[in-house]
Amino acid sequence: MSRLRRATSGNLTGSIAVVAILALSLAGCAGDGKLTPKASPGSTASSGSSGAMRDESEAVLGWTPPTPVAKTEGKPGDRPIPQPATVPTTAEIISVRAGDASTILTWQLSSATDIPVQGLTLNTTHGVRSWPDAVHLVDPMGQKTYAVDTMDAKIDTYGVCSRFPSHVGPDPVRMTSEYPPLSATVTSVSVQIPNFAPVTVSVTR
Amino acid sequence: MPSVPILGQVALKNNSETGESAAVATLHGVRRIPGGTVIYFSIGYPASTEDTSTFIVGLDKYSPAYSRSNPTTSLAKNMLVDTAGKKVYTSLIPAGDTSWISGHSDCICSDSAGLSDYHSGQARVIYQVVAPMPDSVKSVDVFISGQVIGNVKVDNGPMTPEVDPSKPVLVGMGWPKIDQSAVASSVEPAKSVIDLTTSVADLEQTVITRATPKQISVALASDVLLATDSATLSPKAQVVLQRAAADVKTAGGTGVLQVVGYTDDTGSTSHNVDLSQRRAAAVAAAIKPLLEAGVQLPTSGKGEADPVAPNTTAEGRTLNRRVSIVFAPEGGAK
Repeated sequence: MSRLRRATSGNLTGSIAVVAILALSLAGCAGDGKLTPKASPGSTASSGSSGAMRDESEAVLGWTPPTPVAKTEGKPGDRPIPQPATVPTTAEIISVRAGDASTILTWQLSSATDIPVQGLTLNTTHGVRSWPDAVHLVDPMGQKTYAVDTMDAKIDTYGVCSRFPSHVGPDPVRMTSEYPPLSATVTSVSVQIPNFAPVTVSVTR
Repeated sequence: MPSVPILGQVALKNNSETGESAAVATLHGVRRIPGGTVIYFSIGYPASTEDTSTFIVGLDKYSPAYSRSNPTTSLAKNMLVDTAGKKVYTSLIPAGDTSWISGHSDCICSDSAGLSDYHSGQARVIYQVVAPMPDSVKSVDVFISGQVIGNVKVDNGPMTPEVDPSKPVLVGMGWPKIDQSAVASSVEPAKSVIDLTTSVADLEQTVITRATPKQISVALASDVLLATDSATLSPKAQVVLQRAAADVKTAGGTGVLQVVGYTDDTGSTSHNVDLSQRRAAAVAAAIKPLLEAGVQLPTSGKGEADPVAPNTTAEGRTLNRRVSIVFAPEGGAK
């Protein structure tokens, strides 16, 4: 979840070593993570397991993330401080999955060299925003632009999307964003990432 | 084939700039229980993982706990999004929450301290309880570990067989027993439910439709619609009016539709209120023939009130100069 206007993060002073305030996905997610080869689709009515109990860790760890279907080049931000984000960056689209009530975009960023977080925000009409918040889906046939859904908490407004990455490097950073549902007739959309060339991808349903 | 349900999977990043990515979060279930809704998921580390303590299992995002405490417990920040009902169900706050004190839990969830001794090659099940959802909610988008898993079915009752949650629960070895007493005593569950807003515009951003559970607003850009500092419709107004009318119809706008004018913060307040009132009246008169027969269009002007963007930039002021057609969603405000 990315905050449109960032609040102050708390100190990570807890005793929980693995707990942190930022999660980044590198290998697959969301709708495109469903129906993996080893997965049994759906859940049972009231029981999560059937038959004798056994350690099935291997089944979930064997998941293979989906691969990109399109890519575009650009730069990952427009803020000059503290370090210009001038390193060429690749954005790859994993999927645009349309449902009855929402649309899920999965994409990833990578760069030849590490780029710090400060380069990954954007000066926009709505103030400083981060990458996942500012990505739009455009339906050129239906003449519509879809913005990331937002949550309206009293203290702030948050995009329903991954938080901006702490850095981008050779290892792709994968993110997801939630949008309003697309019209049933839409078969492809243009993914518009600020400072990147638009890229057209097919919609999966 | 695994016997456990797998409803979606996301990957977790190693918390180092050069780290390998491999850990996996798997969604196993979303279950409605008395007083709450349970997200069952697992975190797994491949056998090749040398140091599981460097992985990040949560993310920085909103939770009710965030506004009142130090958000050290990332598990509290997973959530369910009912996009059809435009509601977000976030973590329940346990009674006596002391999460601002380092190391204390701010969620009703598995003992996250157990995550610190994760072992490579294992996937362990975790639960987290978020706000209760109405029975009418049949599917949700699930936010776990910073990623959205779309269109997940909501089932009833805890996953079984239930096992002791104080010990690590490997995937396939049962499901952690929910602390029902903690759910029953959670603090003001209604505060864990927040509104979702969707936004769709035309390509030129001249007509923007925003929808919440309470209202739908179709905003027409004044700069295209009207002459500068005037309530006279421009030559391009008809196109904008037709787009807006189509969006109002699509969104189910019938009956009483409020037409509200707004300006940016340039000029005096009295001038802006007057201008916005006149603009609202002009738009109402022009768009009425394009809407369903019988609609009522009462008008008002709010001047520079309720900006949708900062007035500190030209772009922001452009967005704030608008006339909005506002109405309740079909079925009434929720």
